[in-house]
Amino acid sequence: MAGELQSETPDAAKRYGGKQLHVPGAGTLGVSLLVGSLSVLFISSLIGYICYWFSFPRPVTVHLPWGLWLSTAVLFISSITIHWAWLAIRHDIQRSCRIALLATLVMGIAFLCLQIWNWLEIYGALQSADHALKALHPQYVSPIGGMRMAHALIYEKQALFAAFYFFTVMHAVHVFGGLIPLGVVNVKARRGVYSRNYHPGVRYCLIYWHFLDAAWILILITLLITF
Amino acid sequence: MTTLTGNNFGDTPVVPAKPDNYLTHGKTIGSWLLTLDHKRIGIMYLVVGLLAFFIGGMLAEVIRTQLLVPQGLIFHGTGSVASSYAAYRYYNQVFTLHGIIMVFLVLIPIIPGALGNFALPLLLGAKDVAFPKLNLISFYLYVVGALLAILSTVLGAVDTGWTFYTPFSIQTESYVVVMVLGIFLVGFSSIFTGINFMVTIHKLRPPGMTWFRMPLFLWAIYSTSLIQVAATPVVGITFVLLMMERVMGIGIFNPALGGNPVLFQEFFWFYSHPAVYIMILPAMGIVSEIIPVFSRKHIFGYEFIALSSLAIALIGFLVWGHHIFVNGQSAELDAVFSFLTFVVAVPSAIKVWNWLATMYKGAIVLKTPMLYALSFIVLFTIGGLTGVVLGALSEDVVLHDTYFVVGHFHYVMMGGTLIGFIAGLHYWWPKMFGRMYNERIAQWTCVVLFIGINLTFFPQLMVGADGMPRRYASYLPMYQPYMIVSTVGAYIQLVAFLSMAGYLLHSLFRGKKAPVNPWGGGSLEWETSSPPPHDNFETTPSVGDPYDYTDMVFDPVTNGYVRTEPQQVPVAAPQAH
Amino acid sequence: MGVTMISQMLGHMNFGRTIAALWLPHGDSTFSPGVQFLWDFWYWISVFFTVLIVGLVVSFSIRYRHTKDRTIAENSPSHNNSLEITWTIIPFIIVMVIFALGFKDYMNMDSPPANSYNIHVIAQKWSWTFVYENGAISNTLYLPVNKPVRLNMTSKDVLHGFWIPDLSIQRDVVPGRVMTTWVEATHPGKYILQCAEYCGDGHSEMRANVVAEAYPKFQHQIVAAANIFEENGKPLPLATVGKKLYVTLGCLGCHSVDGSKGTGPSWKNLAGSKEVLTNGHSVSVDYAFLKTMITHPGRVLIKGFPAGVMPSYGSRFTGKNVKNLYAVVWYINSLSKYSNKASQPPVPNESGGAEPATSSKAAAAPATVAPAAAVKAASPVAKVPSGPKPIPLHVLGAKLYKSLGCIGCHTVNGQPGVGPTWKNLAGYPQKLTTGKTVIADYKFLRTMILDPGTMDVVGVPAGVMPNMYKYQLSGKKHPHETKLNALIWYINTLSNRSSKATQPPVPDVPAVK
Repeated sequence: MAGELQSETPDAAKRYGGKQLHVPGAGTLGVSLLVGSLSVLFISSLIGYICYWFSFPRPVTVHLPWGLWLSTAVLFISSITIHWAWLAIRHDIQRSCRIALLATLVMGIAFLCLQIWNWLEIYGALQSADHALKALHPQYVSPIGGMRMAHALIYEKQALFAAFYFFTVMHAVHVFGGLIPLGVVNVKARRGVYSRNYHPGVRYCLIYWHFLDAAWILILITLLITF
Repeated sequence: MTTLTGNNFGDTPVVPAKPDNYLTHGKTIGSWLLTLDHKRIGIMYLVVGLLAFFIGGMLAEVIRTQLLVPQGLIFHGTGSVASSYAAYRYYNQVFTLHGIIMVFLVLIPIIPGALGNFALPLLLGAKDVAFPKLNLISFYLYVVGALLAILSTVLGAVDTGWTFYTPFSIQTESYVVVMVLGIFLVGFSSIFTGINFMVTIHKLRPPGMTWFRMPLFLWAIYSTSLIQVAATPVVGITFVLLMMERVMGIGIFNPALGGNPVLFQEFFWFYSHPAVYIMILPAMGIVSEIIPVFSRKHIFGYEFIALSSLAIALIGFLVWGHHIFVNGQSAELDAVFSFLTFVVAVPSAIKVWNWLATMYKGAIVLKTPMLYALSFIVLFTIGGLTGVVLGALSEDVVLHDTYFVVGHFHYVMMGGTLIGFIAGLHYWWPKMFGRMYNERIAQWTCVVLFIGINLTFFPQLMVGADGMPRRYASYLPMYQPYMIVSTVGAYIQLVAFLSMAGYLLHSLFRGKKAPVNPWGGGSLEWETSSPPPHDNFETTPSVGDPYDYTDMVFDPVTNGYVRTEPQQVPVAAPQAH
Repeated sequence: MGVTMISQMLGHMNFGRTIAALWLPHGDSTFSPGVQFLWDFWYWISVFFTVLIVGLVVSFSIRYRHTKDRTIAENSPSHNNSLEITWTIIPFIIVMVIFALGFKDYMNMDSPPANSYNIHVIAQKWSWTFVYENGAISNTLYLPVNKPVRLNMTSKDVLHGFWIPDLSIQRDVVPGRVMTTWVEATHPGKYILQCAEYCGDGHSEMRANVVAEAYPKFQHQIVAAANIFEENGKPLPLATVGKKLYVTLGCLGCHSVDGSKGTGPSWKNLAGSKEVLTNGHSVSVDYAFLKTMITHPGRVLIKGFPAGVMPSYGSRFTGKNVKNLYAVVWYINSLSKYSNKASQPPVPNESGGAEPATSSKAAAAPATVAPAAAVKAASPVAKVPSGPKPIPLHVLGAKLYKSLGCIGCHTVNGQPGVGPTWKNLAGYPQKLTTGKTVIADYKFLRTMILDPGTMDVVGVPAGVMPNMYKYQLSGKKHPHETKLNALIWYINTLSNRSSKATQPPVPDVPAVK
């Protein structure tokens, strides 16, 4: 994303050894295609999981941590703030835009923290067993080495545990990947790079953040149905 | 025209030496490794891709040598059954590595990566792709992925076959995770390249070049990019799941944990079948460029060729199930996939007819690129027709996982994609390096390669139909004559490729200086010098019909074609013909 | 065709089959005519189009070649919609015909007739086994002629492909489910079954002979195949039968008998030797150990050999098939210079599979774990004796400790393992993860064995202990819970705090009738 974000800045021409490469609209199209590509990723894995779940239904024994609702709310608010930032810059209200961008960044980080908390919540049982085993045998190494999750998690619940981690971690990785360009956009907004007519970074973040939102809602619905 | 004997280096006084071109623009290693110039990135893709092709090709020779005798010439046991099985594991590793290298490191990236990167902005009359930095990132993702694949091999290789079918790939004690991680990164490279090219074609077309006035290679690249962007994520996620399965035992593909191994196949082919079109479409695009140029005649049925690329790309998404007819999915589903498979065969046929119609009443110059393009038509016809019978449900039951399939996809991949790539390489070689290769040797090499390919793969079709399964380290003695012919064909191919490497390397250093337009092409890359300057074009080229050769004449002084009058710039709505 | 002639000359060297046709083999099943017809249809269309296209390429290249006089193309149109539509429609119609023909035959292949004879096909790395309706087992697939046969196929490990080219059938064998296909041979003949789906080291040798015979002969064959323990009515030594099984069950794929290295340990000098397990224990390879390794290979792993390769033979060696086990173990013993009483099966080699003679061998083997040496090597554990010499339950428990695989996680000498050691377990307090402390009494032990998930002891990982023992030791099939009691008795003998509360409700030594 970083490469695309920079390709439309006015000084891009200098960086590319004299080539003039300011292409209007290219960045937006590029980000849209990236988002489209990532959507295929999320949708196909969700469909695959649902197919799997239908053919091998499991008894419902795992409860989703209630923290998921909190993180959903945080992500939703961050989606509103990024939209607010975009509207503000379109009306050239710099201060408002900066505040909104900062709020989005904070919300994004908060979302990740909440997700980590959620993972720990559901990881608890596994972790305590792991620690206990370590205390008992110093030579025992990690769940990833010789000991597989199959040993540490109760047999039938594996696929559900796995799905929960798979989808939430995959989504979190994308949130994390979005926070880096969002940070760059924050800095640029503080420097006053963006204006009513020139604010590509804000637009890319807007597209990407709405995508994250939509993907999260799909994941949450799937988890709610299958757990 | 004339054949060079090699000692007339610099013997072109009429063309004043260019003060600067992209090859001489910056001489440090850093100026290559960190370049944002699409042409240099293209050349780097070419070098890495050809290196990978060399490794994959040598592995193929190992495979063919092993199969010279029924019990295996290279890897065989010492008498007991257990010892031969242990030896056959090495053969399994060899064919796995051959498949992985050829598919993921050569066939998928080489045409978009090398020729696409080099030619696409030139064909558009643009200075570069839309996102040059992303382009460089793509290249390095590809390199790191390739290195991981090599690392996995050094650590202890993979014996799953390039398809990584579960549960074998979960159980096998080999370095699947490292290999799969490498392919995962190559996949990202593919996605970024696809996005880059799509945006470039959308946004960087010069004024006057409407969608239906683009050279057909661009249509092919566009369709390819569409598949890369939409299908590659699926294989990415499949491989992430496979890695999780191996490392943590999540159980989604593992029947021992209640998982579904067929789900992996569905996922895998959802990408890997469209990936076949990622490989073949750009090659078709190259052939669509070469045939009209060397027939000195306007391409026939432009819209049909262009739209058939798009049709192949779109329908290609819906046919993955034809790889798994015999794995127990429902017969109704099989029928749908079979039907769609036949539907996707039709646009390929349309292309072949249009190419033939282009040649009709042309003035055909049988230079090396054209010879390769014609080889493509013949080999792709055989590959395509053998694909038709595999798409028929009851026939697939008999032919699935046999050498017939091996022969079929080698006809398409080798005879199609690779020959298309070689055609394009010879076509754009003068533009890439500003040198001509030895035409006579190149033509003979093409003939030898054509014979070699047919000798290698036609016997495979025969033994496969008769009942020899694929991925066999040993086979029944009755197939030996066929296997020997096939191996001899593979050695002939090796000779042809060594010859090709020889004359191309020779041309790099000793070749005659190339004119601006050696073949008389009408698209924009032939308007700039050979090799092009760093900025591609001194002045913005004017856009006309890329397949109009009527006002072009051969200039014996420069050994190239020149226009008698400047390209007419159409102002009205597109009227391609 | 010359090549065909050479191959026919070579033909006598192999499985009774030569390359008979240039392309498809001459099929001998009811599917074959349809497959052959469609193939021919496609073949001649392909030949026509290939010749047409190659002909056009060559003739255009010659007829319209670039010459001095001909430097520019003749004037001809660059598009023609009716031509385009023609060459779109014609290929479309042709492929639709091919599709329809293929689909029709395929639907037939997909639905076995109701009156089919059933054969169960078992695929594993790297052998095929066929089980017939009469219980006969063979490694050659016998098919009745002119009778539909429904093949129910299962895989023990990875994907395999069931493919008989001459009978025009193929189906993947997917582990974890039953795959079905059917075939009806129309002629008596010998064919080859090959594995079509890549399955690892021995993939290319995973073949089987297929013999189609008239129905009466077929029945005769499978009746003969049902008894591998006899030849011409005479019982064979068990080691000889074991040698047969070594081939037919596919053991030879991984285990050599000459000491050379394979995927699994060589059988040469294996029985009676010492092996080191992955958990560091050193064990002697006795009968009980071999039995565990064969029937439940995942439970204990020998150091230096990969996990998960050996398929679980389970039912092929237990229950009514236990004679197979004796045969294979006798064969392994016959290959070892360390073979001793402890490593040999409890039945004599020469008996030819007669019922195990329990009492005659009772005094032989030295005991390593259990005190009651005299009865250690008595009858196999599955048969709890009702005869005159009852075995103390704790001795049976000591055997079960090995054969059920408890040995994989629980030690009996106080050393740490994955699970708690059984030394001084019974009667000692156990701290649960809930914070409560309980005494390991009979009820506790029973619960932990049958329903391991109910409570977790601090320091022991949750979820490792399999929960299948519920079905093997208790429930409807085992109302008396004899084996469970045997295990708990054994645990009690290992503890110095054994008491009434920790012991099972039945006495250790069953009352003599």
